Amino acid sequence: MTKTKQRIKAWTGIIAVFALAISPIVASTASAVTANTTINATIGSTISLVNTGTSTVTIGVSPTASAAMSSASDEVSVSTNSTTGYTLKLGNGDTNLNLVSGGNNITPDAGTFASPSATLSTNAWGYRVDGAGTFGAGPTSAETNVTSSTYKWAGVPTAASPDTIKATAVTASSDLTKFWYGVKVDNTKPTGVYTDTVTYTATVNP
Amino acid sequence: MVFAFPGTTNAANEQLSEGIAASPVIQRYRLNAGESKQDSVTIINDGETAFDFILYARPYSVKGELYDPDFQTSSPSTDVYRWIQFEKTSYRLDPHQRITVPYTINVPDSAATGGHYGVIFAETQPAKTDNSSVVRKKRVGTLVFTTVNGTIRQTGTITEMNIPFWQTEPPLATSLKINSTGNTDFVATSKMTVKDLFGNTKYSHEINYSVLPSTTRKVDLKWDGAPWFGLFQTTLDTKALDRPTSQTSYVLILPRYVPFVIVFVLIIGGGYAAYRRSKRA
Repeated sequence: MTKTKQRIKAWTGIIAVFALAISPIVASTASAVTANTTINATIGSTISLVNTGTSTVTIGVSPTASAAMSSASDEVSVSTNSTTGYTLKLGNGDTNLNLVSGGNNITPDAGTFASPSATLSTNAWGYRVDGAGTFGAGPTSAETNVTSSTYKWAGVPTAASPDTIKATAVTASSDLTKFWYGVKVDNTKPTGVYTDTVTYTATVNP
Repeated sequence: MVFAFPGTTNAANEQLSEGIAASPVIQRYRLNAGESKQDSVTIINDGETAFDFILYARPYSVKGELYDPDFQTSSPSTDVYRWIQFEKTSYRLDPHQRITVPYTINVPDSAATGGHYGVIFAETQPAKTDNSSVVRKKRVGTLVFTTVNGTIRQTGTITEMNIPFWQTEPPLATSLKINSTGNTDFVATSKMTVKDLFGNTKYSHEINYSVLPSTTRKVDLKWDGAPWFGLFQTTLDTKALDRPTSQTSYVLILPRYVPFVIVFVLIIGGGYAAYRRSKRA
């Protein structure tokens, strides 16, 4: 009887020790049973068009009988997460293509994006973008009251047929395009504030 | 006589930026003739200055194989701009604010089956205090691709896959052309994979793009970071209308002057060898 009791006690002890030993394994096995949560983040598509660091484009000219020419720049940056890229266009903002001061006009240069003028014509205004079309690589520097521009220029086209300045094929992050605007006048043009509006358009490529 | 524009300097004034953004950039609808659909786009002031903006819709089509967008030409497939109505067409946004602008597409009963394309523009309005010589407006567009239900045909083929063998400078360039002969657009997927001679992938790029009805689209796939010299195995995979097409070719990037240098060296070497031989004789 005593022997039997001793055996029971011994087996009880062995089982207890064994149970204690495997308990972390059981516990850890239990803790390994987990639930998976799928996290889906839907990133919307977007396109952004920003005039960086400028609020006005102001060009000052002091004309002479043989004409003087000045230019100033404007920077536009486009960002999009569209993997097909974007297209940037420039066109006039209204139906009047002239720089206007009351009843006085400065007409757009006869050069076009496809075939810009070798230099800005007298009593004309225009734009250029380094490296776009056949404007030339640049880099353009601001010109102030020079006799003749050393760069090629085109008239800003109508709103109905804007020029395609840039077309990309990948996503863009603050992709910068620098537009130069130039005016050349002689002293037959009355003094005044001559103004026109241009429109930058950015859309993604589908 | 003195002629002057405002200001005496030609610099653009260093001031706070003005920016406008739109999201999403493309809206796709599948609607029945006579159906109305309400939706919205989000316009964001992405700059540091407040601005007013206006909303309007215009036709959308593409010119040429490079898909130059045309917002002017009106045709039966670009009439969706006539169907779009805005609750309000002018808003004001403070810096970093965004606004959800609702609109409704009212498809006429007589609308033809197939694709109809337009664009919703959000356009900034210049401040009245802007005394620029050149006043700037900025506009961003959300393309609206609407298919009117009926007998829809999405058909097209890949007409060209071009992987030129000898390219004289980076980027490593490939292209393909795909046309659409159906009555609505479809989305195609193209992937360019560039491997070295040991089979290691050096570059991979995949894009999804739309092909509009009755157009041919040229898609350029480039590896801008390609080295100036190397031989690569290049694969173009395209999947359109559930039909996969693949083409693999080798591309050698080698500057144009290198063969001339090699020929020059061979001529000089040959001449020198001939000279030595004649001297020995």
